Amino acid sequence: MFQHSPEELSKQRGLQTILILNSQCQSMKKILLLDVFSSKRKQDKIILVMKLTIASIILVVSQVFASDVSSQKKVSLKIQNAPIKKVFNEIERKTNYRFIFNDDILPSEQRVNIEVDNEYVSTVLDRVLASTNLTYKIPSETVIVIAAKTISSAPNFLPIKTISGRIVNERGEPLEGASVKVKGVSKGAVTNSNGEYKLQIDEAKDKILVVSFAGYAQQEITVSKLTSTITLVSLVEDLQDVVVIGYGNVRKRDVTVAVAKVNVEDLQKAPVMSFDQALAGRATGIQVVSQDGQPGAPVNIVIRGNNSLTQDNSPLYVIDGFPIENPDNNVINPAEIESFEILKDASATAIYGARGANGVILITTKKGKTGPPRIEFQALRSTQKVLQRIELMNPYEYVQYLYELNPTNTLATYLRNVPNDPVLIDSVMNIYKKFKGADFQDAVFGQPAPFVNFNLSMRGGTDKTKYSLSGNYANQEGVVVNSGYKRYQLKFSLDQTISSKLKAGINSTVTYTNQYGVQPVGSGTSGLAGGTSYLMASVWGYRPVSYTGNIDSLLDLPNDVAIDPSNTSQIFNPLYSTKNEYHQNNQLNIFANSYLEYQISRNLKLRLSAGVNQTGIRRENFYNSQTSRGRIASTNPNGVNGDYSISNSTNITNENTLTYNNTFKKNHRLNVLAGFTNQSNVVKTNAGSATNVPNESLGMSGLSQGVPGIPFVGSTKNTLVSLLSRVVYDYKSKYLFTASLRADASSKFSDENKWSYFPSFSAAWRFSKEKFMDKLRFVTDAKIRYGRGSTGNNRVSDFVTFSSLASGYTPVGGTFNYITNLGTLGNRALRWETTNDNNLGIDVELFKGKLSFTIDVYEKVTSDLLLNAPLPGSSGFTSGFKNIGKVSNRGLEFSINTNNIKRKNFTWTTNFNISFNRSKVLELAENQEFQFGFVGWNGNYNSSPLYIAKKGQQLGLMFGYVSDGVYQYSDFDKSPTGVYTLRNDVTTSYTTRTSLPTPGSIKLKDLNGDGVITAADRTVIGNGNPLHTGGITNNFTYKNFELSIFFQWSYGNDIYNANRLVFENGSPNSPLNMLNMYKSYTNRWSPTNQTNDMPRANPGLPPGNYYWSRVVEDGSYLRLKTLSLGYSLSPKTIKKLKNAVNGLRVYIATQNLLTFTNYTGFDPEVNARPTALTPGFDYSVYPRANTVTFGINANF
Amino acid sequence: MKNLNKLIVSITIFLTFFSCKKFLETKPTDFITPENYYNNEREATTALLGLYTAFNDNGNGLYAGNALTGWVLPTDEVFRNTTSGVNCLTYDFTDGTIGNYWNQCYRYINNCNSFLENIDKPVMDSTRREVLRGEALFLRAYIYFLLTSQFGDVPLKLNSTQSVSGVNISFSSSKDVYAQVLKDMILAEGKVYDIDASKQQPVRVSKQVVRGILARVNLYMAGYPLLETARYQDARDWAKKVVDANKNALNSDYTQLWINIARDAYDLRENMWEAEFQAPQPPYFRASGWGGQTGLGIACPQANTDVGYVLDWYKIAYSLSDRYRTDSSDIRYNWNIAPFFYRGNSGTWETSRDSLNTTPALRVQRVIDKNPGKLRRKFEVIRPAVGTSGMNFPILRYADVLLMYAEAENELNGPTTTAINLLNLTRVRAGCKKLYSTTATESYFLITDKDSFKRAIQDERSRELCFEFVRRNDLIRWGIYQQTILAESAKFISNNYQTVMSSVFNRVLDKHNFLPIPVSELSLNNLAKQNPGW
Repeated sequence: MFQHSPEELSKQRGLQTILILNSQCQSMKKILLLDVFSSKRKQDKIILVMKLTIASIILVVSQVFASDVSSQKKVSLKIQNAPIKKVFNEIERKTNYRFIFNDDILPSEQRVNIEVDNEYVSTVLDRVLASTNLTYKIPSETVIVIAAKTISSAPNFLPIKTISGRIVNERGEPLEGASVKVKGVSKGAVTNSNGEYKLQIDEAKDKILVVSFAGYAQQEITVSKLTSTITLVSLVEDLQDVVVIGYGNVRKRDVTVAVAKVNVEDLQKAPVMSFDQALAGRATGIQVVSQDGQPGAPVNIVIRGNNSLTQDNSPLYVIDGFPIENPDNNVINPAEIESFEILKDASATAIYGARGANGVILITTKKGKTGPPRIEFQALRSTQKVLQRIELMNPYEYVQYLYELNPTNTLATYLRNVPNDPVLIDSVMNIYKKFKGADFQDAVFGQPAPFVNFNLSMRGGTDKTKYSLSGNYANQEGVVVNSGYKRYQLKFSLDQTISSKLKAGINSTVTYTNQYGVQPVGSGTSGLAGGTSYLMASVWGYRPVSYTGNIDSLLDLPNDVAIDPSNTSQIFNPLYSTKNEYHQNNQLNIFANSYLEYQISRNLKLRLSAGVNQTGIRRENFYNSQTSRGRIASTNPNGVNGDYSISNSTNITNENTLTYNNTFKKNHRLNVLAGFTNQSNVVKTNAGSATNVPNESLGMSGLSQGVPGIPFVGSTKNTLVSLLSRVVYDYKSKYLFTASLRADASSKFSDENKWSYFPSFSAAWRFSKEKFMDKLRFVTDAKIRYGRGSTGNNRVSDFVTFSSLASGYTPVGGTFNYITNLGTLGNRALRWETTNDNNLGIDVELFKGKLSFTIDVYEKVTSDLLLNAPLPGSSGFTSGFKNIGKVSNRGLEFSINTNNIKRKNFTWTTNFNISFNRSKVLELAENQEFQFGFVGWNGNYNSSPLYIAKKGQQLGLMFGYVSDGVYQYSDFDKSPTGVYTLRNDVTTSYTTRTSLPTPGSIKLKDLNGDGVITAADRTVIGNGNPLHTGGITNNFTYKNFELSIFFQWSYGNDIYNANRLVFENGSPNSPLNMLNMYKSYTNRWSPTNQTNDMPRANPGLPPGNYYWSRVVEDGSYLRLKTLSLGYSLSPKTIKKLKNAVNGLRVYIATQNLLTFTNYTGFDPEVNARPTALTPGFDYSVYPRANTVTFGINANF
Repeated sequence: MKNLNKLIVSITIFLTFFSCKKFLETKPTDFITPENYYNNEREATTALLGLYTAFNDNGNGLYAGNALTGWVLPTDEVFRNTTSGVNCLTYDFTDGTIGNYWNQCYRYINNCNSFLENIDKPVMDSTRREVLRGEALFLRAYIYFLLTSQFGDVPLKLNSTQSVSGVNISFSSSKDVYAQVLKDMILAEGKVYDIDASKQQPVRVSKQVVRGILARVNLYMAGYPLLETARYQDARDWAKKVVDANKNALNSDYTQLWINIARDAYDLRENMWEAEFQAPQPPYFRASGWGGQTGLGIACPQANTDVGYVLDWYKIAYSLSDRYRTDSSDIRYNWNIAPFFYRGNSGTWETSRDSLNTTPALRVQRVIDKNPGKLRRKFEVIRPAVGTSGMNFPILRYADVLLMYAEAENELNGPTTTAINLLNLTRVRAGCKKLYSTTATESYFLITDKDSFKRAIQDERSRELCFEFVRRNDLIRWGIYQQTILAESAKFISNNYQTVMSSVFNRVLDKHNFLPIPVSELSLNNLAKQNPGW
């Protein structure tokens, strides 16, 4: 009854204890206690205290302390004629010691008498055990181990030898708690925290040692061949060699599908807030384009091309086994990522069936590992700076331009009512030469912004319990004033082996993020003519000088009082507004996932898991009177106003899988998986707003005093049930086969279309194992693989199969009445979108891993496209969800890794990858030959299409008129009275030939030669898709230094620089809204500067404000994305520091240091309207900052 | 251990076999589906009132401020002071405004169809059910009437769209569409309430409205392009029915009529049917009426709570001004053509347009600088200093019915006394001299034949009904649209005031009698056909 199993002990002490004895000891006659507890205990203790202090984390873990007398408890006992057990019992009762012993070894007959008063426990035990065959050890403050005496038990005639050594893993890290046993004998040892063991053996008998450690392959070593260091090989294998493939892992060599593994270590060298900002160029087949450079800006990740025209093309994320469709990537702390895989082809993603069509990103986060607590501290501080500036016209050029645009008004203002005489005008204009002009770019994003990021983690465990606890704080201020992003995160995971058959674990993360400040891309009202309400547009367009000549007041006042006394100009002082606007986007994300694993038999394992992902988002916007949208002016009926929304989404997943794993006749390996999963997702949203808020000083809280808007309350839900199965078979790792079948049922579809089946098959042939390859010794490993399969997509909103009634209020007879109307058209016949995919790949490793490469070619065809298809207006609806159309994507991917130099002090490795993808529209909505893509940004242009998806062509082609310079005098006949009339043989770009065009007007190409520009003259003018994208990483190490250089590129894509439609095109506007222009516009056509590029001021817009090709630019770029230089302390130095730290790395890293491009906008890495139809659009985006980072990583 | 085994097995069995069918059945929780509606009279009524939003829908309402309705400029009354867009004859089949107008018409036709399919569902009083059915029938017919008068041949859909497939629909001839319009309206006339029915809300259609619109429909059918002259008889009969019912009358004061409109005081005797707008009353928001910032009011470029805020967008054509010049006592001249605008920060500062032009010649030349003055914001009760105006817009006025009556009578029987008397009603109210068919002493205009009376009617309609969305279609049905617009262009030159606007008028072609079928319809409905010339 006083026998304590280690399990019980661990319960008593909160967590796992220490030792050695387990149920297997039952038959042991002798227990050899090792000197696990070496002499320098105190020192260790101090270090541990240090560790904990630094960590500021209190965690109960087992600790091994010395059993030296001074730290012992004293005890008083009076026992007469009792069994020895009774003594132990009494000591346990009176102290906090617990005894560990084996009943069998206690002499049951023997009775003891003892009477002591306040004696050391050890003294008591010495006396009690003196007459027995037993000894004891006190390995910790609370445990006493009773064991049989070894040496004295029998006379020892044979030579005894003490052997010792060290046990490490493949990375050379010490393994604590590994066991070294003599084969066939119950004699063994366990390693200490340094992986060291000591064992006395009988040289004559003990020939073979068995070295084992949970999770590692057991090794048998002949004593005679024993080396001082034994390296155990992980069964899970090194993560570098294992690929997570969804519901399981495979060895990289045995992969039969197209999966890209991102080098997480390289990824983590980039000093960024979220992994997606560093993902571009890291792996093949994945295209990553961020919308712009704003902290927390969404990043568009597309795997192997867009499948869907109108629906979301982002991949499915599986984070620690938990599928999430649209996670906020900012919630995932890059430092917490352990491995990152991208499943690309259908044979890989089919196991995620329903939602795998856009590819799957598998993210595994860091967990606890066996070993002592390992404390890691990472800190970085960056300085972000926007170096790019668009050159704008100076005050003199501005006034000159205004005069050309609108002489009457300019005479009355900037030219101070001088008589209309060229000489006088010139002299007044010259005054403006002395003004420098207000620089709004400098004011709005001229200041360097700091970014700090701290990670602190503690991980460790024993072979039964593993834990991980980590925290993160990141604060990235935006380069634009009053903007930024913050993240606070706590993460905890625990894996516990409950019994030899049962294992359980939990993994949870709590993240709070806070994004604040104006968002330039979404800052404007796209309906407004001129698009001037966007932040960057108003930064560029705001007048550089007032006609009173005062620049300071321009910067410091909301509007130019001289020109705009009533504050009704479309453009408001952007600096002023940005400083005063209040935008908050707070998000609390709780992610918790737990599992139970039960080994039913040796080969059969059941795993049950359940998780919840809860996200609460609160958005707040408040516009006080000092902002563009809240100003007190006749044009703003809302006055001071604000709005908020609160949304809560709860995603609950349950997955149950059964895995059968066996090897037959040594060579036939079989792994069978069957599973059942279900998932539900509920989103509830509340929103409210108020206008004309009387007390703006109260901010958001003042909304309750304003005039309330109609509150919004919404809720939606979807569920998914799936059955999945997979068979993986290989013969000698030479012929490998995988087949999977998944059935999914989604609540989004009506009963008859709920279920869909997604099969896949793949095979691989590792021909390097064939005999004929023996001659080619340099080939270490080579494999060819082929896979095909189908996957699905259900990315439509939850209730699109239902028609809806829209409701509202309309005035009838002077009062507002509640009304209903038809809203959207449901489609009960809607079904899953299916992607069929073929992939052929080859993986080759040469010269023992010095060089390895992978090539994949694929073709995927997506049919039954879930399309929000436009409907003819006569149907009463303009769009409805249909399964229609077909898109194909073909591509080639190539990646190569080389170990160029591997010397003791110097290594150089290179990773290069390149991807090609071509999409093709095979079919479109009923009868359609093409579909237009529209971009909302400017009321003048919104109704003209800028993109076209045409049958037989690529997605994302830009569409418009071909520019042909500007009309010159030579295009006109001049009448004797000086009137210019367009020559008969010259095409007009306007609907007339008389009033327009005039010399300097915009000239477009008349493609069909009918003498007039009509809609028929539009053509493809650009392509938003790159020919290829890729990246190259070079890593160098020299002694303790390491250098990592990462270049990333995109080649052959065009960007529609819509900024230039506004800022190199002096269109007439009311005097209030006269915009400043780009500096380049000084080279516009004028009678004295008859250039053939940019139109004159006030050129007259061609009908319909058509898009023309002049501003299509080559968006190719090569970017030095990350450059990092690090220095790590050598093991020697660490030793000198007496193990105060286990590792220390300091580094300097830069992000976006250099970009080679011909693009004239802020940044070629831009996608302001990220949909499949509209890639490569640039208007008023947030500039991307260049960052310089200093960081430190320390391990304790 | 054994218990644990049992536990795990039972958990697995539970999870695997619990009812996944129920789990997968989700129902919308934040919107209503049409199938679940029309349960009672209240729900039927909310759906009917929803049909009226066709006219005032925010953004696309068929009579909302700056909407396209009928009203593709320029006409010989008014033009928009800009050089591109749907108002400047630069539009083509890709024009978004025309596309939106088309979509809006069909959206509400579909709503009417859905309403008519469901109206038998609610348990309610059968008379009231028929009233609702009548209104829906009429509204559908009226929207078809707008469509075919603008676009000619259009798809004629009498059932609601149930599926996203099978949406290709062939175009019916304008003749067939008109036939359906007549059929539905006549049916509606027998169902809807009379104008004085106690429960009737003022903007909902009454028998009198249906009759008046029937007169208009028949007049359109009698003219270009159908030229079914026999319809003059029907037009006359329907108009006569309105008059004989003796429930409508002209307001004795022409200006008071517009002040009533501005004040939202329903003057149903004359303003038989109005599209209703309402000043924004948070949290509700509806589209602005034509009185608003971008509307037909008197320019006041600085916002002001006394006189509102109106941009200087719409200008008077020479012809309209000329028409009033024939009778200097016509009080409509200085009302419909605002002689002043508001200048400076103080919106009350009325500035005479003429005072800016010092010589008589300049005053004639610059008459086109003036703004329409019918809709005057300063009379609005709620006068927010913003762009949105709650002023209603008249769709049918009794004055129009009288003039239609006169016109049909003249076409049938020549300038009879009945016809001349009808015409004189609006003239007398406006303070003009009467027309006479004989050489009486008081005679001012002598009417001798059918054609001169027709011209008199054409001018009188313009003087009385200008800016009420009827001019362009009047010109088209009279077959004089193109020539009238070209003649207007010439007036810029004859007035020696050639601005860029004269060339805008000059763009008119024969094809402009019809609007182009929008690109979305053409590319998505493979049975669609484009109008000639586009």
